[in-house]
Amino acid sequence: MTVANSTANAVQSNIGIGWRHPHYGELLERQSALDFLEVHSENFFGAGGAALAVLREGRAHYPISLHGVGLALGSAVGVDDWHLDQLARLVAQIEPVRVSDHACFARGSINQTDATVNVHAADLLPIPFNREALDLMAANVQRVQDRLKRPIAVENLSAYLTCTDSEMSETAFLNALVQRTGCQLLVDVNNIYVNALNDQLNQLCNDPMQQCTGWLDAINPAHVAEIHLAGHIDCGDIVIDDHGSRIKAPVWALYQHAMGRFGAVPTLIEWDTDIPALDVLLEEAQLARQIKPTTTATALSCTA
Amino acid sequence: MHSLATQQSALLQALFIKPGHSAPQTAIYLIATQANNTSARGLKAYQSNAGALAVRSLQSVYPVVEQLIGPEAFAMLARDLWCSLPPTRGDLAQWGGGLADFVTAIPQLGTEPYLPDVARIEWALHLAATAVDEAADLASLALLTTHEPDALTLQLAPGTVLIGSPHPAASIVTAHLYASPPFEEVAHKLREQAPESALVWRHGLRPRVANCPPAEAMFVQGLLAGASLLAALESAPFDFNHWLPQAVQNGLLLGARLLPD
Repeated sequence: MTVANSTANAVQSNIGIGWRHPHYGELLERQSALDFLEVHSENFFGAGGAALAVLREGRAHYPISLHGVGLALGSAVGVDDWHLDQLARLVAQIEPVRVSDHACFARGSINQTDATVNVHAADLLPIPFNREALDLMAANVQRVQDRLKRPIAVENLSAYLTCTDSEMSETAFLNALVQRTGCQLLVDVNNIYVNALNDQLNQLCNDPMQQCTGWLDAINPAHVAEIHLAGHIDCGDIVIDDHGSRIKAPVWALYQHAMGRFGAVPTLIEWDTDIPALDVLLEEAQLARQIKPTTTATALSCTA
Repeated sequence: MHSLATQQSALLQALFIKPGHSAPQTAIYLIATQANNTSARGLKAYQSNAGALAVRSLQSVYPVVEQLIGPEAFAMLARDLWCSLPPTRGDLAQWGGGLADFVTAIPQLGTEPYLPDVARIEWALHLAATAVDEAADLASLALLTTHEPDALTLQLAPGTVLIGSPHPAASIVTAHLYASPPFEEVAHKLREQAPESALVWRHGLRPRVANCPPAEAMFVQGLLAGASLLAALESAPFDFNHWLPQAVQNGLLLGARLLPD
């Protein structure tokens, strides 16, 4: 891991967008001014073909951040060898600027008509914040980092189930994970706000903004490699992190707070459902670019 | 207190409950002790997301099957498959290959007996899309003029497979994907119960499928099995000189290579 002292560059924004299928061709053609592109690693696990060819072309013009949704780092059954093989091959080919995944589980076994079968839920399922989960996730993160020969960034979840056997806060868990493994953190500002809104619905929180700023203040700035911004939807009885709309005003306010604390951390505009015209994403990116860091905190580099 | 593995299995069990079924009492108990008492809505959110994901994933692979049975039936089928043959990998592109065998066992779909073979063809197209890249080496075709046909074989495009069917499954797929042949002709083939072989390959970066005549199918099958050109040609009466330029033009044939002594 290299840590670049970014005193001189701290005020330079570093803004990227999630590069999804509807914009593959248009972005390559326009070559819009962006500091990086982020793609979902699993979409490029194929050995060959069009998707990989497009990603290689994108890599020729932009730094690529590989963001995974399937490693399932918190799974008690461990990380899938096959998945790790595919990711390692992709990392070797693309040489991404960052590699990340989530603090969640998805793999395990279930019982089906007289048989136990292994499954992957293809979702980001919550883990308790306790010693057992920390030991397990640290071992899984370490295994991934050893294989990739580089640190990864681990993202906080929006969770719709709250495990009652947690022994520590989410931030204490994530900070401890960093201490144990040397990994970095990907702070999803929208996720912490969605969690706070759901806590409010569940009468576990009186002031979502205060809860969120407290969350951000509890994270060691030196550990943060990337920030995610996205939209969410309020369904009345639950708030869902659907990445399907513009970033809401409170999330922008929290981003301002995060930039004040973390400095010029690379920031992603994430939009995965009801994907709009490319110009809409670029407008959101421009809004993010206008929020300047008010600190000269160090910015992390995640390359080997 | 239950181990993390037990808690995680309980939640997974609840997420892969088949439509119309209830979670086992043990799973319900474990989730209730694992999560706070306002979690019912959260569990429903995860279940809804899984259902939507199942439908989207399968739609991207099986557009013809969806057109054949209709979007509502297809959505039910996708959710049923998700729970019956769940994903095992974190890459959803790996999930859904069991659809052909799965629909075979559904009596309500027995009126469309070609459906499993249509599904097999679509899955082959899906796999061809990400098959290992191989560049054409057309200069190597000069080996055809310098070596005997028992000393060489032909290199076919990535993802090339043949799928035989007692039904006109290839024509059904191409009619939906390429509007050829016309549906009137497909209907005639269905009445005649005309068997077909679907040839799937990748032309450059684009997966392709075509109805492959019987003699050509035997020839291609021989090549896929690693036979020499001579052995493949002897397997069926076949106009190789007519096939060769077409195979180059449509990207099926990438080149020739000598067989090891």
